[in-house]
Amino acid sequence: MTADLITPAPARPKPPPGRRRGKRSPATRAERALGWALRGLVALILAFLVIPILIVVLESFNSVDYLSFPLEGWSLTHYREFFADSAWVDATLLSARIALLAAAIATVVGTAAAWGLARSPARGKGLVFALMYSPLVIPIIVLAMSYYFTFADFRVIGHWQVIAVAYSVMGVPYVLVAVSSALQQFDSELENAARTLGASLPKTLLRITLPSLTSAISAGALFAFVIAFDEAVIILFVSGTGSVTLPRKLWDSVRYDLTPTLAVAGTILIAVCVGLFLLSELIKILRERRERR
Amino acid sequence: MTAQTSAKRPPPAADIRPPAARRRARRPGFVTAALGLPVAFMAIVYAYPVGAMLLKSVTEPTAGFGNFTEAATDRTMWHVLWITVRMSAEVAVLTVLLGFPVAYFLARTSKRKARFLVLLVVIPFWTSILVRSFAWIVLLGDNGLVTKILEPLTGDGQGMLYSESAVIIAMTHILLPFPILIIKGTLDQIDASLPRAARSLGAGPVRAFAHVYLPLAVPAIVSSGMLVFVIALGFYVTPALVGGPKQSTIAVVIAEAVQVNFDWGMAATLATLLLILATALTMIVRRLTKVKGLVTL
Repeated sequence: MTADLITPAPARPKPPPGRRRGKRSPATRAERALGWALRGLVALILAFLVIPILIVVLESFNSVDYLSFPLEGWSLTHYREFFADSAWVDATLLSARIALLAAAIATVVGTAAAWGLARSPARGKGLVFALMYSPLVIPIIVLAMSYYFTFADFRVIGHWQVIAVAYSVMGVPYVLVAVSSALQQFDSELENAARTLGASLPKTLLRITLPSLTSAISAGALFAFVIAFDEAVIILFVSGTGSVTLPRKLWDSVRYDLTPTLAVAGTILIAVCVGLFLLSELIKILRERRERR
Repeated sequence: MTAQTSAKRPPPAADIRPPAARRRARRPGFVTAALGLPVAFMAIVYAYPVGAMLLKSVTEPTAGFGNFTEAATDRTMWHVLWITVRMSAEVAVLTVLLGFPVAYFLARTSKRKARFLVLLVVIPFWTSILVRSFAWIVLLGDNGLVTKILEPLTGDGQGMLYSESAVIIAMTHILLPFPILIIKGTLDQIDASLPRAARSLGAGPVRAFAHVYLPLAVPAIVSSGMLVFVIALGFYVTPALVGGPKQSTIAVVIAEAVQVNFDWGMAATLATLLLILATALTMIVRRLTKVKGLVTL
């Protein structure tokens, strides 16, 4: 097992016939040592990735009023505080509302664009794709400035619906990429067959194309939701006083006082995003299982 | 299944063109709409705000390139640029150095194990940057775990929060999943028989790795490092929260220009410069390596 960490051995590392084991053992031992060293290193790096997130979750159960680790004691005090404070609860609900609207818009726009790109014979498709994909690579502070100026010009700072529309832009690339790759697997002749048999195009799309894209669309929608739910830069400029989302409230509080209640807010952000991510993984696994059958 | 019901209805008798031609005749309108509406949407709510912002860099407060000359002659701006570039480069190098062993391990281990371990990489990836920065405030603060562990070494109980090392550590943590996932994607495709062939021709494990395996991974290593560099250039939340005034990056200065100085022109100018820099670097990477961007769906 460890040997194939260094040299990708055939699937079952049986000693090849005609070779004596004794002759190979020195190399194998060195390889084995290297393999264990690599494992140790990888374990350390993965711990570096995961532990800070676990700490936030653990910290939310701290029994004292200040951040400390190891915990002074376990309690749910800060969860009670969080849910008793209407400012935190309102911020959480607002984030959910904005993310829901943003995900809905991003899903419709991204799915339509993916289908249009897949079926369009026109040139200039690359340009359209670049327009749809670029929100993924544009520095977020640049996007924040753009929205701040435009929101201010049109006097819509603090309007949650407008914020949701702005957020939907960031979800579009995810939906587009997910649905595009699913469309590549989808046999477009099925659409043609339905059309030949007399189904109208909208009917074909609704009954033939969309059903086979549902898992890709839902994956894209979930990511669009997550992006909008924990967006923390644009909101600093466009929230005004009316639209304090959960990340915005967390940001403000981190700057003024550090209490375990913040860890509760962080834990909720983690739980929502990781939960939705695991949900999309589950959808993927279920789909694979169905296809195998 | 559902097509059967509509199959009963015969196609309109008047249309005697073959089905393919009918399709071609009817489709463009619908396809154009499917493409046109999203394009119109993105033009209005995305391209317009960005375009208006770019325009402000040369119109606010007066028309002309005054903002750009002001930025170019301001020594603190150059210092900010230097800090931003230096920290981004450090983070890029660190993430690649830490990311490669993980990617290598994930590409070589069994499918099942890899699937589970990739979750450990992707879950932090989907956790908000704000929360991960907050995590490092907790860890590196005066009562933090890292501070307590390092206490015997440093001698004092002082946390390293609000320092450059704090920003570097937090940003490395936040951006590490990118190289891991990108490099793993490439390593997964390297033909496993190549290093084996090198071994059977007499190369030692180190040589087979360094001369056969590694060169195939170089494009992914370079492009993921560059990607991290570009993303780090525009980072705002982490330097603002975990760093001190000495760690002001371009993004922090842009935010200050708007929130403290109310200088829209300068903010737009710096944002424009950042956008140009990021776009240019991204395009260079695309040209050089042809490794696609990262969306793991």
